[in-house]
Amino acid sequence: MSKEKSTQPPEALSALPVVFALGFALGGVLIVAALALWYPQRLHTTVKNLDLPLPEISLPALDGDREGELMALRTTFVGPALINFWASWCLPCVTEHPVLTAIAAEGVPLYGVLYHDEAAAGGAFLRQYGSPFRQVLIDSNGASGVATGLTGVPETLVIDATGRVKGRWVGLLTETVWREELKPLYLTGGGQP
Amino acid sequence: MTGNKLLLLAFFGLSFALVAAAQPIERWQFEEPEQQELFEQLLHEFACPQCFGASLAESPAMVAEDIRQIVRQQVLEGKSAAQIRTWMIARYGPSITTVPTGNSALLWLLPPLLLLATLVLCRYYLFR
Repeated sequence: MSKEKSTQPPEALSALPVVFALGFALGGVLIVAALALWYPQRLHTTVKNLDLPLPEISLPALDGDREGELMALRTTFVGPALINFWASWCLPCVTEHPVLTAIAAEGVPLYGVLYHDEAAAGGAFLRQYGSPFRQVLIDSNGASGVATGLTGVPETLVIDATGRVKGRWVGLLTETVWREELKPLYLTGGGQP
Repeated sequence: MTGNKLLLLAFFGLSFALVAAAQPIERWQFEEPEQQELFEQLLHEFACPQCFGASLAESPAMVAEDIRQIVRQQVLEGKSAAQIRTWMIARYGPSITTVPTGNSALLWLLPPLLLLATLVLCRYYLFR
């Protein structure tokens, strides 16, 4: 009986690590597949249940009459309006630029925040593609972004007539997103159609 | 036998390599030890809003660095963990923190309950 035990079990046991390894591999593949399916949706989302004040900070102006001077966000960004966070190093920002230009052409006030970028690079970007913004402020350390829940660029905020942040679009802004997601928020916030 | 062992070793080796790939963030110095402790606790508590599964303490993302600055500033201003947590949740939603809040506290009971259920089933089927 003892001899049977010494010969049989090693055979059966040696299969276990292989089963575990295959199990881990299969589990890993399933997790990666699930994340890959879910991640694109997470990158582009509207956050609608926001009600945040603009932060009480001042940032240097990139353009306009007061170029280089510090301007308070709360008095500069007059709602109802859109605030677009962008950067010259951000490729999707180039892609969405014509959409911003079209929105500005509708008469919607559009403000810009140049995120983690140099004034010279931001200025060159606007000279090349044109500026849809009434005013651009430079946020070199991202403080105004965090205060409004920014995760990266491009992102677009909707502020209402009282200047409170009511919504945010995370990622590339398209004509459809504007019409179906942000415009309703802008109109609810007191914007004119 | 040796082949299986090698395979297992490779798996564990890969896991360790992935863990080691998460670069440590430079240390931030506070004059008050309590503030240092609170800051480090909060960095491990908050998730990076841009990346999966990484806490603020280990994320190299630009926005994570921005948030670390803000958290540091709020800690220096003497804000409590609860105040900073509320501030962050208002901006990034409840998923930004790993501390159970509201209804999600119920969810945290699930793993111990499942473990208990497993033990009961094991006892019933294996050791009756």
